[in-house]
Amino acid sequence: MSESAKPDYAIDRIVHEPARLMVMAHLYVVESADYVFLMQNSGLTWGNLSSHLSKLEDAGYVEILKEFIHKKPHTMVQLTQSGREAFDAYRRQMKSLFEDLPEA
Amino acid sequence: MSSRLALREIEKKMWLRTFEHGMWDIGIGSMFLVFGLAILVDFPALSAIWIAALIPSFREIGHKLILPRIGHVPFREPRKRAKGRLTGVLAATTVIGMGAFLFMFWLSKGTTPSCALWAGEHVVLFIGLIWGGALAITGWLVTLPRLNAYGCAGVRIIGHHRPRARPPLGLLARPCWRSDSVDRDRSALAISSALPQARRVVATGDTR
Repeated sequence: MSESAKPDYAIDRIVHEPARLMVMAHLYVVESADYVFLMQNSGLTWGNLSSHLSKLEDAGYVEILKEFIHKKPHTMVQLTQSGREAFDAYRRQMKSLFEDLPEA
Repeated sequence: MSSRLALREIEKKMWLRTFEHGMWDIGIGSMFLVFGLAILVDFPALSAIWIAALIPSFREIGHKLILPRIGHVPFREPRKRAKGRLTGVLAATTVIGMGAFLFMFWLSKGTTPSCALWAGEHVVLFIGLIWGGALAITGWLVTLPRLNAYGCAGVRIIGHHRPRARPPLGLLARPCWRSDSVDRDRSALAISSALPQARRVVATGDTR
């Protein structure tokens, strides 16, 4: 997109991607969740989820905590404060975008 | 992936998913079974023991088997409170179940006041009400309507049971509290087992 055609609003592309949006929505309503629970609830595969979570972690939206429970690795994922703010901002943006949409 | 993205629905779906492992249904089904069995074998303490034993083992099974399979998810404050209340209800049920069992044990041990005997007569009803009440509260706390249905079914079964004139203390009962039919059956059993020995004594004259 050329600089002149750029809209005056900016959608956060990290949040906007459907799979990441689903993962963030799941993490938004809880304190944290482990990989198994997220995988089952989002319908993503292990690798897919891992790559999306890496992107979210790079953006600083999620925190990934690795620990051992009964000598077994256990990974917990939780939204950071900036992740919550980004999700809230995205929600407001989408709401305002569709709110004044005339009926077809 | 779900076609509809509504945060409230996602949260509810996640919450309900933590209870959709079938353990509740297995536990409640086994309670129905044990309750029926307790009435059948005239040993109501069995259901109290089962309630007291099942709840702690339920937690252990949940941590060892269920959690690694469905995943672990700490919820936010309102759900946390609901879970805390649920634990309280389960703990209270365990304590009351144990109390009912100890009460029956005390009844079987010696002379007891008439009010205690009255309670002993209706002990099956009490255990059933504890059970039905606990299920109803649990169903309300975790918003699982099927638990309420199980509770109603339990109360219906208990409503079917008629308390008898004597306390149904079963195997814990003193001989004077056993029903006449049980005593008759035991006497018949004793006679039939002693009969061959009596015949041998008559035939051989050997009294050893």
